[in-house]
Amino acid sequence: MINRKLAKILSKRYLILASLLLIAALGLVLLPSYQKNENITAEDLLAKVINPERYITSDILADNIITNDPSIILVDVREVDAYAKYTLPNAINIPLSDILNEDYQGYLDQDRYNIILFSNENFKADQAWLLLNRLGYYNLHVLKGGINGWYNTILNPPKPTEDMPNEAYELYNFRRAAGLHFGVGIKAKEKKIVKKVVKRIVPKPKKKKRKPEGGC
Amino acid sequence: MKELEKTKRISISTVLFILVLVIGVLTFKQPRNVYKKTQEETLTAIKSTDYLVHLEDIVNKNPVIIDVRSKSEYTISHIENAINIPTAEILENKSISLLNDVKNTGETSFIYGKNPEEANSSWMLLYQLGYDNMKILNVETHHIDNKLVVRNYSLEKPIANYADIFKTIAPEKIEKVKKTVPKPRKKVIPVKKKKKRKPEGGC
Repeated sequence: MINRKLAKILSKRYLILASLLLIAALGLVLLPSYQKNENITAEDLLAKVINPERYITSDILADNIITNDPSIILVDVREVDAYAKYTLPNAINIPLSDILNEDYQGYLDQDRYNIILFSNENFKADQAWLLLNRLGYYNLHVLKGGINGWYNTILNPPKPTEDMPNEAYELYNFRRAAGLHFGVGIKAKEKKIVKKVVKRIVPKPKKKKRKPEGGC
Repeated sequence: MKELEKTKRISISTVLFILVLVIGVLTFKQPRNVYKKTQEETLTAIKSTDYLVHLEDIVNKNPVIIDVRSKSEYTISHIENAINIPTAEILENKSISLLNDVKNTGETSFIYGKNPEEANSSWMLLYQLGYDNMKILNVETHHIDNKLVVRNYSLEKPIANYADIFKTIAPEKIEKVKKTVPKPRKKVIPVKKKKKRKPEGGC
């Protein structure tokens, strides 16, 4: 009896299996559309945001520029007129509003150089950093404090007071020297040098009157 | 006999196929947070400064305020009725459900930190995840005597005309100079003076 029933079911096993497959296939159609995060998930991006590694201090940057570090590209994300007034040496200008422009992707989407983004402060540079990181780009950094920070540390460092440790004096001297390298006070100095230069006067040898040479 | 083996193989393979499908469906996992705005949309949002709000604009409105500073700073003092969600915890289930609640009520929430820069990263992240009902409080906050002082902040403002510094006089003499290239010594070539000769006489 049982055997017969089993045989009956078994004879229909292809039908059962086929219908199962069909149901599974239909189920696939009904699945919610697959949502995917391109390049980087929100969690990974947050982990990157929290990581203070993205900031580079102006002292380190100054050292890198002075030693001609070939691995850095400075990117100024301010507008064109601000860039024209003052920018860091050898910086290129990519305004924040054009940061997703295809023309600039060649600069930004690469893994050979360290890109250092900066603006007047951290704000715009951070925004650019976040946008570019979402595209999955590598080696992006932000100048801590932006140009304001640069101005306060390298170009116009506060003089250490007497109760400060020796390191503060060393840092101050380094910053002064770096500032000098970037041209603070150079102009005035040149003028002084110009004054110092003594005109060389080539003395014209006066011809002495010779005594008339006598004949024999 | 041979035919029977063939059918067996077919049925086994079908069963396996179905199994694979079932396992696939069961392990199907949606990412928890999905970006709802593209980079371009975010960029246009950044370009307009609508998302920056001063403190005066939100007084008397009893809005939802989110504090992204650390817990310790929050416990010292915070803006009244502010909710503390440190930046690091912004994507945790608890905070996401809270943000969803706020979004569903249709209210606007305001983020603040030590300065707008601190609030910026959480704001941008959440904006891209679709929470477009948020704004940044354009203020800087710090503690004085365990009380929170909130001041309006002028963002991205240059502290000085940078180019002016290059017109200033030379800095005072530097005692210790790091990393300077030693100057080559000037070679002084002494010029020998020619001795005056006595005028040569005639014969």
